[in-house]
Amino acid sequence: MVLLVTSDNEQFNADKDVVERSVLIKNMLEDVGESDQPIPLPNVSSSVLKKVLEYCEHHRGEPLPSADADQSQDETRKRTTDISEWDQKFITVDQEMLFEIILAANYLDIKSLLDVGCKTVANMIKGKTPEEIRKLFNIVNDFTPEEEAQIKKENEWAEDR
Amino acid sequence: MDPPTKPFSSRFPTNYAPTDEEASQIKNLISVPLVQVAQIKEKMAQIKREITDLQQQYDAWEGTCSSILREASVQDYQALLAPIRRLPPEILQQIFLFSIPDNHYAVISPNEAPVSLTHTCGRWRRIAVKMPLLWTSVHISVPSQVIEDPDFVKKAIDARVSALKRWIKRSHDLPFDFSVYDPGTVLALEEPRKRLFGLLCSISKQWRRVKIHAPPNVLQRIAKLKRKDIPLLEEFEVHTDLVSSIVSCNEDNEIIIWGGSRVLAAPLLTRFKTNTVSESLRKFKLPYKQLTHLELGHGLSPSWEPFLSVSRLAWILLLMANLVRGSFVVSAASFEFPEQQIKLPELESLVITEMGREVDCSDLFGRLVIPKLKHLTYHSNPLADSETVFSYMALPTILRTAAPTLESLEVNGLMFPSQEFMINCLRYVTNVRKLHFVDTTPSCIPGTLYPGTYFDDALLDTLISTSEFPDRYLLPKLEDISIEYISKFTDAAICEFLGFRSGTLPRVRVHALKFFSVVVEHSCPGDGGALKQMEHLVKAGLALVVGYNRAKRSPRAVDVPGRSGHLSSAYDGLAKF
Repeated sequence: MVLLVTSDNEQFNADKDVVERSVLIKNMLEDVGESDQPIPLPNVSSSVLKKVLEYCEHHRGEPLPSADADQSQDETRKRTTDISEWDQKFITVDQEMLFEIILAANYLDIKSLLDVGCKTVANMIKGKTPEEIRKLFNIVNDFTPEEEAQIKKENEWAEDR
Repeated sequence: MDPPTKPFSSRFPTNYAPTDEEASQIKNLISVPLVQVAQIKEKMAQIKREITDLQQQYDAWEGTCSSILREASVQDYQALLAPIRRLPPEILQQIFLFSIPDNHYAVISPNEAPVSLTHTCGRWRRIAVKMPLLWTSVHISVPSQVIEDPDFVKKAIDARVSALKRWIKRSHDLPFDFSVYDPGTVLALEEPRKRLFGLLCSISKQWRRVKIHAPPNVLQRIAKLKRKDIPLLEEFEVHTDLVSSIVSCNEDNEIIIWGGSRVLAAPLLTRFKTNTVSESLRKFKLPYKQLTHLELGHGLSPSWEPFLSVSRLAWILLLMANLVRGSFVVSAASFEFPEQQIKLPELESLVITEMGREVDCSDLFGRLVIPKLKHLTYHSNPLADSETVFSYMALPTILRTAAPTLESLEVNGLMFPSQEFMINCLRYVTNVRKLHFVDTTPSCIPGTLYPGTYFDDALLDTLISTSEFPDRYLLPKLEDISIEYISKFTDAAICEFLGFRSGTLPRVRVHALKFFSVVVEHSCPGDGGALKQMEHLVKAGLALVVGYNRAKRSPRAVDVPGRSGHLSSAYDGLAKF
């Protein structure tokens, strides 16, 4: 068992093969060797770590994606946004938690979880106008007048559609 | 208990004058409370002063807050806390990559990524325009509807050229995928069309997956590219509407496009598809050995029969040991078949469409070694005239060969001279899960029955009984069946069939049916008929589509050519459950 300590000082005990889905934790465990020392996770709160561990527990034992495979995926651009049924249910959370999970997955280096989070956000973006995207994510239209002019020019072709 | 009496209280109602000693006692008695009262009064005054001071500070801050809230909405504050703002650029880049369409090339639209990403906010725009991977695929469509206004179309093409230039610039030198749809319906657009295709050809060294639908003269220009101009080309799909264009032919009446072109000899080319072979395939320089996907569509030869004869296809397939998917429209054999077997160890999907007179694929199919074939589509489109000689042996030949692996079969009814023949063919393919009888032809072979007559209650009965072969059902793994012909099934027989193959009754050695789609010749009963009883199966997951004859007419005479359109006119009473 591995003891993890969150930013709000909560402690979580988890199986080694569960937490080792995080490349960060796996490397830390390899560095310190056999030890009972708790692993501090100052960038992850208890509520988020609870979700992350739920994900790792469900996917325990699955093969980890290799760095090469990821690079090749980027190159061929064969990027599907399909998400498995369980993962979809898992990631059905409010926006605050969704982005917290993404940040935690990035920090903990859990590629598959990061992908699930990014795909979920991408699916929210797909098919939406810029205005709809801004409204959805509370983004401000902060274009400079020069950028606005450029965008207007880029949109000229659209008028004849 | 009596209350304690206050000292000297009995003297209060009198005019008694205390002695000196008593006076001293009385002074001592009241001095302490008076001091306390004075101190408390002082404290109270101090607190009052502090409260007044705090009130003044409170009033001042409240005024400030009000003015802030007047100028900015609560949403503005919430926006500041928006979680997406905390994402570092590398995560936003990941999200952007997933936002690109994964089932088609990106379109130049403000409502689709990547354009929408650059129009959202300054930060997103800066990140997106510096991500070449976002800009490596695009679809360009040349308007075709406004035929009477060439100026409008010219302006539209020029606008797309401008957009494409930005797109290409942002892709840097990465491999580029694109599709262009230019049906060539607007004439007198040579100059803007040249600019569009000239721009695309200028980056031919980046081409990776390319789909072009364009007039033949445009394709002829593209065909002039050299092999060294397209070092990355992996997939090349070209379509043209030959009849819509004016283009020069050679002395054999062939429209020369790819004959001798080095584009087809691209070093990395593995997939080539064309809907129209417009010249003799002998002139094609395709790298057959390296191709995994080859689709050669309906060629328009002077005789209106495909240039690809079934015997030439046999010789071509001999070279294609890596073929995974093949689709071919073939005409009658034009010369001898090769002697040897044709080994296609990787072939998973084969689509063969026969077109013209006396096409017989038996010799081809008899030579095939296809250990991985999962999907077969085999259509016959014979000419409906008295000279047509049709061979029925091709289908059973290939079904016997492919039986161990075949999971999906699509055929038209003209393959079968009778229902008995059809059932015997289906006995081979015990692993088929998906079966589609498609009505592709506008006519029947003279002297034969309309294929819809094969689809009757006796066929359904065969599918639910083991009378001929004990312990063995016909098509035991069938999960998906669709019949486009107007069938003679009765509702009662359909119910019995569905109840057995899809119902909750214990099924022995058969898979559960998931999709059943038929068209029947009788009209729909007013109360919904017996099929209403099948609602429980639909709730359990069966997709059920039954087309009824609204016009209450029998199907047309079975041997009359020109049956096209019959379904839409007479059979528009479609019931979906």
